[in-house]
Amino acid sequence: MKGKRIKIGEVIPGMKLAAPILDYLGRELIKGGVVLKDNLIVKLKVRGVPEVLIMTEEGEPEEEKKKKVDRLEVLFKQTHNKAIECTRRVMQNLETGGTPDEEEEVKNVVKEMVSRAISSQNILTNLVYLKSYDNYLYTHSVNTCALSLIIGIYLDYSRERLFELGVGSLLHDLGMTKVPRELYDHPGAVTTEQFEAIKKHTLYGRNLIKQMKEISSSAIAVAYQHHERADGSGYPRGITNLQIHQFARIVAVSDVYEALISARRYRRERIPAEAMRTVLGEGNLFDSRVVRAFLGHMSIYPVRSVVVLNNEEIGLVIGTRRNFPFRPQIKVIFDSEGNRLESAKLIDLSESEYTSLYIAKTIDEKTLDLDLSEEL
Amino acid sequence: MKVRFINPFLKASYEVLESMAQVKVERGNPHLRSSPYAGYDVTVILGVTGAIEGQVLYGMSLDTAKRLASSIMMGMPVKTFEEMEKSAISELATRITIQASLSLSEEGYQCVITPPTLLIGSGVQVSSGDIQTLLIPLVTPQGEVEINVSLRERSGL
Repeated sequence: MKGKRIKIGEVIPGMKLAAPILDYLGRELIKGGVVLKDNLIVKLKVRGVPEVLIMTEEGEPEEEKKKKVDRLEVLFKQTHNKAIECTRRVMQNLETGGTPDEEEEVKNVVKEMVSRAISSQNILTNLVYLKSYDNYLYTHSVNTCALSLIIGIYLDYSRERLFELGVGSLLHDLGMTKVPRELYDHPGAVTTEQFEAIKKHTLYGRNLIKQMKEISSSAIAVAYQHHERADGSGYPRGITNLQIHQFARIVAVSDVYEALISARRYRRERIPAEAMRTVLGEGNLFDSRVVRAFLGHMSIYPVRSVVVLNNEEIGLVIGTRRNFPFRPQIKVIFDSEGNRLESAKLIDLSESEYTSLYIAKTIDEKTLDLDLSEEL
Repeated sequence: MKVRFINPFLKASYEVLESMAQVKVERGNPHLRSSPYAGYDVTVILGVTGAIEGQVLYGMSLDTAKRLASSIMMGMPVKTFEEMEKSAISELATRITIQASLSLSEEGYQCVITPPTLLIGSGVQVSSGDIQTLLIPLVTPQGEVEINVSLRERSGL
C-alpha cells in the first residue's frame, strides 16, 4: 500500500491511515487502514503525534469528488478544531495555576469563527454536534460561541459586534477552570453545597477576564451574567432581563441549548428538536427577542434532526431557512417502506412542489442504523 | 357543496391543532354562508385541484393568530406578528388542508393542494365565485378560527 507522510495539522477528515499509529512504548493506538475522523485527528493532536502516513490510492474518483464538495465543510471543521485547541490551551493553563494568556490567539480564532459564521450558518450549526473532547468544557465553549454568533447574525449585528460577542461567548465559562472538575463533571445530582461552589465560576470568570487587558469589558459581563435569567431566578445576583448585558442574554440561550444537546456523565444528550422545545418552553427565563432569533435560524427542527415526513419517508435536516421554522431542507435517507435509498434525495420543504409534505415527527437517530457523521 | 367534503376538514383540524398546538377544539355549527363575505385580520388561502376543486380559507383575528403561533412554537412568547409567526400560521392551515385532502383522496376524490397564501388586513371581501361556501367555526382556547370550504366536484372529466 502506498503512503504519504502528512503533517497532523493538514490531515483532513476522511483520510485513511496507511500504517498503524504506535505510542512511545510501541503499543498500537490506531490500526492501519482506519479512516480518520475529527475526533481521532483531535486525539492524535492531543497526543502530540506530529505526522501520519496516509494512504494514497489511485483511481478513487468518488472519494475525490466527495472531497471537493466537502471542502467548505473541512474548512469549517478546521476552524472549529483550531478554536477548541486554543480554548484548551487557555483553560489548561488556568487549570494548572497559570494566569490568563493567549489573548491574541483568542482574538484571532474568534475572528475566524465570525467569518465562518457569516459565510454559512448552516455549516456552522452542523459542527456543534461534533463532540470529541475528553473535557467537555473546551468543546462547550466553542459551540456556545458558534450558536451565539448565529443569534447575533439574526439580530443584524455588525462584524465588530459579532467579534465582541464571539470573544465573550468563547470565554463565558473561563471561571470553571477554578472549580474542581469533580464538581462540574459530577456523575450524579450535586448537593446544595456543591452547587454553591459551581455557581462561583461566574465570579472567577469575571476576575480572570479582568486580568486580560486585551479583552473588552463586555466579555467580563458575559462571564459574570450568563447564568442570570430574565425573570430574576438566575445567579449570582438575580438581576432581571434588561439589567443583564445583551451578550449575556444571548449566551444564556446558547449555553443552555449546547448543554442540552451534549451528553454528561449523569445524563445522555437530547435530540436537537427536543432541546429546542425545552428552550422555547422556558420563555420566562430568557429574553424573548433572543429566543425568537434563535428559533428564527435554528427552526423547530434544527439541523441534524432526524425527521419522519407525513409520507413516512425518513430524513435528516441539513439546512434551515430563516423564518421558516417548519420547512427546513431535508436529505431523505429512507423511503416510506423503511428501505435505505441508494442515493439520498434532497428536498426543500419551503419550495412549492413540496407543499403537500410536512414533518410529522422527530425521532432519535439511535433508533435507526445511521451514522450521522457519515451523512452530513 | 357536498356534506361529505366537511368531515375530512373537521377531523383534520382536530388532529392537527392537537398535535401542533396541543389544543382541544370545540366545534361550532357548520353552516352555508353567502358569498361574498367579509375578510379577517389574518387569512390563509389554499387551493385544491383534482377530482374536486376550489379553495379553503382560514380566517382569524390577529390576537388569535398570535396566541396560536405561540402555542405552535412551543410556548415561545409572541408579541408581534412577523414572518416567523406568519409561517407558523400558514403551516397550521397547510397541514389541516393536506390531511383533509388525503382523506378526500381516500374517498375517491383524488386532489392536490396549492401553496398557502397569507393575507393580513380585514378590509377585503372574499368571493368564491359560483362555488358555495361552507363555514366551519372552530373554537379553541386561543380564540376562534373559521374554516371556509368552497369546493365542488369537477365536472366534465
